[in-house]
Amino acid sequence: MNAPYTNRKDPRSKTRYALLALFAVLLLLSILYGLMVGAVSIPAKEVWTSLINDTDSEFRQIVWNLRLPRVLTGLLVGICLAVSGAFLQGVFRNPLADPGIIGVSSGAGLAAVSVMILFPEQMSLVPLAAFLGALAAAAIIYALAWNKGAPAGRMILAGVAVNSLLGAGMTTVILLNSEKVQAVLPWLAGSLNGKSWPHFETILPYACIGMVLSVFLVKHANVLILGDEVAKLLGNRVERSRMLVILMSTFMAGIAISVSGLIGFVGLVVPHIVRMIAGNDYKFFLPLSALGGGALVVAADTSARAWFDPIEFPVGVLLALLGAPFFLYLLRGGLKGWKTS
Amino acid sequence: MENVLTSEGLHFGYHNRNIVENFGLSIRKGEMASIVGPNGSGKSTVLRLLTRLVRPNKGIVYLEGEAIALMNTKQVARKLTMLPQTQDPNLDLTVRDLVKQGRHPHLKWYEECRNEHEDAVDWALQMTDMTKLQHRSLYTLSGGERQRAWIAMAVAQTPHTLLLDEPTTYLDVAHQLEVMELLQFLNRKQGITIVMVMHDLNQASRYSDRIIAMKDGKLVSQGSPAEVFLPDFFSQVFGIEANVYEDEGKPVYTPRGLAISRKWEELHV
Repeated sequence: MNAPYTNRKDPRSKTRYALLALFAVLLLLSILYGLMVGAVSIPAKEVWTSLINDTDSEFRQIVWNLRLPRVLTGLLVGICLAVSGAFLQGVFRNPLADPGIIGVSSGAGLAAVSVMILFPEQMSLVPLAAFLGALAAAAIIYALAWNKGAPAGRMILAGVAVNSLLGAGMTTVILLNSEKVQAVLPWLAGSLNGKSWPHFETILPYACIGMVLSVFLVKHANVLILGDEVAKLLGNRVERSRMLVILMSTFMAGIAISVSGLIGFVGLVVPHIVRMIAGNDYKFFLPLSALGGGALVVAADTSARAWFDPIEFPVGVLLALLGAPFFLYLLRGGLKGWKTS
Repeated sequence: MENVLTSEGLHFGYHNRNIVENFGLSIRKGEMASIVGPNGSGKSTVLRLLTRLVRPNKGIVYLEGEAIALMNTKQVARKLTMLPQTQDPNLDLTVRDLVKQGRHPHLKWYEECRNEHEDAVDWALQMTDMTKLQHRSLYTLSGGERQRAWIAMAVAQTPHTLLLDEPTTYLDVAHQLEVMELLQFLNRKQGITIVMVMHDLNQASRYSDRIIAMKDGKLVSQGSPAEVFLPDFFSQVFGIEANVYEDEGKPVYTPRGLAISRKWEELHV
């Protein structure tokens, strides 16, 4: 096997590293934006001093105690949702796959709404209920699709059925308790209002575990996108890999939803846009999606509270309002030379 | 000669419909064999049974003397692989990134495609004449180039046996020959045993050491092209009348018409 040396370096890899750097910068800018903007505008320099100096100044209070935890929570939510979506689009080989398709939203929704409405004194259990609801719905869908394996097509169908069932359950709970709807609406819309350090600290370890374990799934995801048969012929244990990837996606989306409620759009759109720019290789696709998801949620959440001040607009609604037209614009070939697949 | 892939009494079917029946076959080391037969005769299913993509209802497949059903997945993939008939044409992956996936069965779970594995990738690209195109994305390639890229992935897997499901379908005639000559080269010069499902019987005749003919899920005849491609074979297996000639020592056929001509006029009254 003495092949002459060939130029192994992909000429695109430079562009891809540049993209990684660009996305990292975007993320930092969105964080800075999140710390500067709000009811009180704080100049960048003041943001910096109040971050590094533990003083009693008003800016320090706002930046450190109010804005930073909310920005960091949003960051983790965005990362988790985008990573989850990126994995799912690969295993389902379907650009429309997002965490909703494996029941995460409907499962978390039913569980969280039930707690909020039926046991309002147990509000602190909502994140846990949402997380467990997401896992349970995904497990049910996986089990229903299983017949000597759980191929993508069958999971999507089982997902549609279970989603509509759980959605109906959620609607029933809400309709029977319509006087309490006000309490659940922000959660259903997806919001980061009032997120503070405890929220961030609760999800941080789980998000870190998820991100570290995701790295080990990159290789499997890269094989799964070639199709079940090819993946098997390459010696991959396809059912096991797919189950691990779905489990990871559920875990990540569950983390995000438990703290922010149903933010739906990120897991669908961010990976899709990233793939249009950077291609299918998960070594780039996944980190770029994570950075992009984080930046998008932080920037959108900041805009949601800044633009509509004094109303706290739910970030989930803003993302859908702005994201959907932008996404359609991209699909229609709005940016020349971008391939839609 | 040594048998690398053997099947005994394979049965496969759904409900009451048998797709493959009592199928026994021995593939000899270093040969280039073509499976031919009409649509629905079970050719592709046989390839799937031989590669363990589907499990038989009855019967055993042996890969290099071991029962394939009991082997570990990576072990199988280091010895045998297949190129399915169709692949996703929209994948935004470079040729090199695709070919690298061929090393998957040789890597441990924590290993990356590096060093000697990259050498194997270079070699596979060179064998398939894809070095110049290695950084092109798959969806920008022509059908023939894309097929060569997928073959390169299979070559990077360094299998002893390569199965292909209609490797030339959808290609124009020049690209068909290009693929066939590449396979012949891999067979003759690299010693890879090749089994392929073929639709073009003249190409099968020209490039194969052995023809394996199937009809209704059963093996109906096998042997060298000259032994199998007789006028009777065409009427019995394909239901056509054919003239068979000899060209450079290989049989070549031209179809004259259906063996039992259908009376279309009567059907349309």
